[in-house]
Amino acid sequence: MSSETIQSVINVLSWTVLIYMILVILFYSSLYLISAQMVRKQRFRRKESSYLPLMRSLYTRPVSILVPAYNEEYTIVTSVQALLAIDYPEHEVIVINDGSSDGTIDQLFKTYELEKELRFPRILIGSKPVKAVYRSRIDARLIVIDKENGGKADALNAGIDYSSYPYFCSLDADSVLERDALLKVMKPIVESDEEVVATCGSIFLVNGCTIEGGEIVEIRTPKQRIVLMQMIEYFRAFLFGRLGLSRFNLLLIVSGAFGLFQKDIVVKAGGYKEGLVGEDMELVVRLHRYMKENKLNKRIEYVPSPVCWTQAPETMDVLRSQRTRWHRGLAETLWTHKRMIGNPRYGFVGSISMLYFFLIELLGPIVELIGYFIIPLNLLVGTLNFEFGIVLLTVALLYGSLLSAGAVLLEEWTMHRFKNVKELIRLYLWSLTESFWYRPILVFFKLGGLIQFMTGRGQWGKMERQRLDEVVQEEKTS
Amino acid sequence: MRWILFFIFLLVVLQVGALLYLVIQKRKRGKQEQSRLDWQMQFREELYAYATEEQSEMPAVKKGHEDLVELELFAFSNLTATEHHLERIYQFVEVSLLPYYAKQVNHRRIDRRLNAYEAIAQFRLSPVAESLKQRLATDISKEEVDVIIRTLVSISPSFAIEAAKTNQEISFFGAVLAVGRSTDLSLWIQSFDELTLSFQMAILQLIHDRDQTEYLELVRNKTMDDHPEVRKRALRALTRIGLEEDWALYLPYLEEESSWVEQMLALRFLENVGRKDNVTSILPFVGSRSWWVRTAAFDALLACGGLEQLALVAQSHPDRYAKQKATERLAKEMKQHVI
Repeated sequence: MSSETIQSVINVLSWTVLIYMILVILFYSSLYLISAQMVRKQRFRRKESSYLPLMRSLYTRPVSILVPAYNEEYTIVTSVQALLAIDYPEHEVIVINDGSSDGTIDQLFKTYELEKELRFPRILIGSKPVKAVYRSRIDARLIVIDKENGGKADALNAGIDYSSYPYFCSLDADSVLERDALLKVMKPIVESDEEVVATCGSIFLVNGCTIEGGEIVEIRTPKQRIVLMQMIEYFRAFLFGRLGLSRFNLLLIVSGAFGLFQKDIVVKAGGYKEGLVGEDMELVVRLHRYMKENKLNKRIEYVPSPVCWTQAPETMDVLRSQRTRWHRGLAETLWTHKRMIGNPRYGFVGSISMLYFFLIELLGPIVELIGYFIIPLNLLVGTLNFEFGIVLLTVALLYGSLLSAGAVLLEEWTMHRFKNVKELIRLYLWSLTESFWYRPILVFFKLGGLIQFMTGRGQWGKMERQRLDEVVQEEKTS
Repeated sequence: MRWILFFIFLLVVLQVGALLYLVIQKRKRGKQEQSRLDWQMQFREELYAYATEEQSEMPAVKKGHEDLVELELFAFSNLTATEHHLERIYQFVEVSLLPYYAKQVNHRRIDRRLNAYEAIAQFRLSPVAESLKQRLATDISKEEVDVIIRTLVSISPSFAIEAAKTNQEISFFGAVLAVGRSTDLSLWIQSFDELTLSFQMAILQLIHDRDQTEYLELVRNKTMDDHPEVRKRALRALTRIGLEEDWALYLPYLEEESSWVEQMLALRFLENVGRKDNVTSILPFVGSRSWWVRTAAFDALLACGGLEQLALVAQSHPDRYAKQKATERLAKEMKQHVI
């Protein structure tokens, strides 16, 4: 290969990286400004008054909370305890034991005195065979479905089939829902006269917090740096990523860990799709598609203040497996709905949101990886002025850090959950380091996901769970 | 090159600035918190003493502490106050906080304005009604319109009704919350036909919820309204009231292939009336595709004493689901009888 060809390849790559950087900076800056404005508007709003009328109202829709559980013996009881204690006028909790091989169902039997119930559902979506349905003798709102293993999507479909109410909330078994979270996510649905068909709240990390009786009583920053970085990442993803997208009905992810849906529309769209790892995102994209193709004027919204607390991976191995899986899920979803990408027929969802997820979220790691090599390469070949290269790299790193720091600021504006100023400073200072080590690591994990998607390999991976009330103890001793 | 260096400088300044802002804000809040808390405790005692007439003097409101005063007033009036205490609290708010709220309703921040509207409604501050009416005429968000109308219902119902005649923005839920603040619906009923759809639906919904028979004539008329939502809500109210003579109004919805809501309401009506000779009208619906209709059909069947028919459905109904459901209901019935 002649030096001219090498030169032109480097040129093309350099321009690609530069354009990508500008695109990302513009997109994220606009998103941040939109979110900050939305947060600012509600900053001094008296928190309770905006949703308390709902609690007292007769018009709040009843909700079935679906909790798919696979080998969750350490967390299931705490989660169910918290779910039964939430503030909501009418709800049922349906735990779907998806063929667990540990003591998940035994724990439920022991704590909630389950008894077999005769239940004949009208099958709306269908799932792997259900072995038995149980109801708690202690609290009749708790129903447990024991079924053959079929994956998370299959478990959720079974839950939808067996649920009694017109709305369902999907929740991870290792999560803790704040007492008023369900009321808050229901608010946009009720107030919009059902124009909003799905909502989601924020998901924050429980690592480091204190839980008593299924409720978060003290919020602290986790000790491990890797968890701390994830915490900042979650702030960024929720407080300005989703908030900004939700403003224009562009939300493509309603996290499986905490999302509220109108059952009817989900059933019409075909329920959760099995065999995919990103079933939550796929469902939301399919809902958008269904709404556009059927010309339904419906919306999907994000509400920042209701929080669901979940466990984050504490080791690099588990984090790698999680992020690889997420990125594979993103690739699968975009591939399944590829005709929507950049397609104006699907409105802004197709032409902005899908395009953003494809160009920035999916292909971003490839461009970033090229970026990490292209500047040193340019310097080596002598096509780039040394100072200019350093300056470019500094801009990229500083900007990334600033965005993360901005997310910490938004958290302080909206929720100010961290009472201690030292903890907040620690969070802020660590957020500045994100671009220097954490982000490059994630780039490699995501590339792993892309490779898995292209080669058709990969599995779910194992998330090591801890008892929710023990997470804190271990944090304190570490 | 120069502009990029400037950009880097800007980024660094922003980062340092944000950190300083964060620390200063947090420290300031931390420092103020204790002294504010002490003041709040003291105010709580004074307020209680004033409301219960232990002291005649009104408690003083410290400037910048109005939010704490509001918190205490809300807590006291929602949790422990009697009618007499409330009167004293309204008096206190009118004397001590009227200028503050008059200013707040014109605040440039929407969150402050919304908080003020809610407090005005809670403490019946009618002197600001005119300002609210004027604000309604300006270009404001849907959320703000909802809250203002709700507030007007509490402090000046005639203004609220005027607004309800023209306001197309308010949601059904918003209208229910607003009209729901009136204990007496007669003013609303007088203007029913002039109101916007959300308010018409809300009034019918409230007649249903409150089981109010005095507006029966209006409800009967509205069961034949052109708008399906008004019709359904009128039928729902009538179902709840459950007067046998109204059965004829439901017949068109059983004979025709009408919506599941109307069919369900007809069945619920029969359940309320509970007459054995209605069993034949109910039976065709036990195998309905709609969960709501078939559930209502089984409930109505049992309420009308159709146990034998239920057994027949369990034995030989062509729809598998209806058979299973009937078996289940039958088993439940038998269990209750045995107990």
